[in-house]
Amino acid sequence: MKLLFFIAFRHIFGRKRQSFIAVLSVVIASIVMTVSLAISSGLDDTMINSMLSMMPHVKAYDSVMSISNYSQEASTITSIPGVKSATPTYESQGILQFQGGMGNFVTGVMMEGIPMSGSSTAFNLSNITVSGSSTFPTMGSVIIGKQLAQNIGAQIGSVVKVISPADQSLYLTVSGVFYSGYFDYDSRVIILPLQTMQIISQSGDVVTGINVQLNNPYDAEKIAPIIASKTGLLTQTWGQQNYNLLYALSLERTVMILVMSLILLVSGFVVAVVLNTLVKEKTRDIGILRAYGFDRGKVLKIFMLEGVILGIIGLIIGGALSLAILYVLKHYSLPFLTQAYYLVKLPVKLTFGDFMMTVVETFVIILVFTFMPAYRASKLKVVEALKHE
Amino acid sequence: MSNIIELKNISKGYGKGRNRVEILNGLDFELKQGEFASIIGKSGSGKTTLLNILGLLDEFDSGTFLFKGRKIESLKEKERNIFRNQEIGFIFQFHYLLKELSVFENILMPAFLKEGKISSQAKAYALELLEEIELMDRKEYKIENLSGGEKQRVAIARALINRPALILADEPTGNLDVETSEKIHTLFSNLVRKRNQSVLVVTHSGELASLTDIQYKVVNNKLTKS
Repeated sequence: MKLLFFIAFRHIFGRKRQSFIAVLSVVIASIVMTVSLAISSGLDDTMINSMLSMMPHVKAYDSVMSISNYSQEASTITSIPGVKSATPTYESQGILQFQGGMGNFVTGVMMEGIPMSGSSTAFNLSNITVSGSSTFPTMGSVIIGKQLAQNIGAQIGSVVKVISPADQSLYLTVSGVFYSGYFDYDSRVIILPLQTMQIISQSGDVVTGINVQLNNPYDAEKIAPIIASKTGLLTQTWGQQNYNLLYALSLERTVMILVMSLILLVSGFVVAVVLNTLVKEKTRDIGILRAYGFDRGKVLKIFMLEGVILGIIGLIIGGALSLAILYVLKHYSLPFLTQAYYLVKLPVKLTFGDFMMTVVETFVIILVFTFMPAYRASKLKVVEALKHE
Repeated sequence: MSNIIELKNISKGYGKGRNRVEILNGLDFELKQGEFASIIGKSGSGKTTLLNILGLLDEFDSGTFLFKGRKIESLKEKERNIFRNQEIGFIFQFHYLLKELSVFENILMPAFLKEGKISSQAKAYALELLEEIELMDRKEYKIENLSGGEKQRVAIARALINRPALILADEPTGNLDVETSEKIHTLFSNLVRKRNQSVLVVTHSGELASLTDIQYKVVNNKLTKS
């Protein structure tokens, strides 16, 4: 084996330009694959985390969306292991009107009424409030999304008019601004005290549902049935609520992997072309090696080794460069990339699984593409190989 | 002296039907231990084909081939490879050295293959051969930096490194000028005689043939002593 490695290395380093091209193709392919997967995972993760920052992990509700004994149900749900908080919520569409310095703005909003005491836990507000307070100082307060505030020109202390479907209106003072990173929430959701919400909706002392936050959002499918059995309420997990989106993300990722694999195939093809040329150039050398007792298997191994060595060098360089590129993307803001996607920095998430998938896929493709020229070399007849000019 | 090689009624041809061309037909040949023989003949007379059969590089159609008393046609491919590595040394018209390897590495290549490593004995023998071919100062040279004659001397040392039972040489100086050829002939002859080596050389050179014990000619697809 030592001799095979020796000859393989000598072939590779004896033909630097061709070897460089083969390695370069593997480097480019592995960078494209790794960086794309990491950005895709990062974007998916950011989107899901932004969504989960405000969305209940499990929503408990009844068939008429009117729960009267909500305090009792909320405390029952809170006692279930794995549940972080359970917040009674009144949810309704509404209209927000604001007469600001830039003019009169009217926009449709989603109104979320939550208890004054539970405001910080209900929507994770304590973490996502970017200005003002994450709690309601008075019954006449409202917390709005950053994008909505920007759109209408409102700021802390601004007074906005909220109109409910029951055609009731109230003037509320903006006491806080949140930023979830999820455009739909930041531009449409306003949060107000539950009692204020009940008044404006003329619903009485009821809520439309109970928002349940879990210690681990990915336990939702497991805990939702327990909530249902303990309270008799209907439940919907965040996964069920966003099934189409999650399915689209998963489909997009699968398609992306398939497309990126084509680039890997091209790199495998380049390696095969380089090896094919090498086999042609080395035909007489193969003849002499065979004359001196090399069997077909050893010739096959030499050329397989060459492909594998080129692939491994490409993967190592490609892996290192990918990590460097991902580091830059993660730590430095690139406005031309991020502005269009409502992001501050391009999110990257390189999982061990994704990294290994790139490595294994590249390796397998290189092996497959290396086999043909190596097999051709091993099948050369000694006498014909020696005659080769 | 015992026979190293014994060919009986060997036939070899190419093509089928009307296109069939017989190269060797009912050929008999013997080579004894330490015998230095040459074959002379016209181009296309089958000299190289015979050499390829003797070197286990090519198959024959019929007949019997005994190498040190062993029937060659019964050997499997793996055994033939080992046989070639350990029992036969090749010298070709063109040096056929591996340009990626140095002079010393080229000489050691068959030994490396035989032992899976380079033993100290093999190294010592390679150095001895380098001394004999007068290329000790070129030991680490790349092949491309050697002259034609030097390359052929390296090829001769490579053929001898595994102390094979048989050396087969196909026009070993066919590619060199007269003066260099004569030097190589003398060197080659001295090297093989010193080792009591069995040698069969195919040549057009009367000068080289005159150095051998027996001269053969290929006439009508058969070998005859000249």
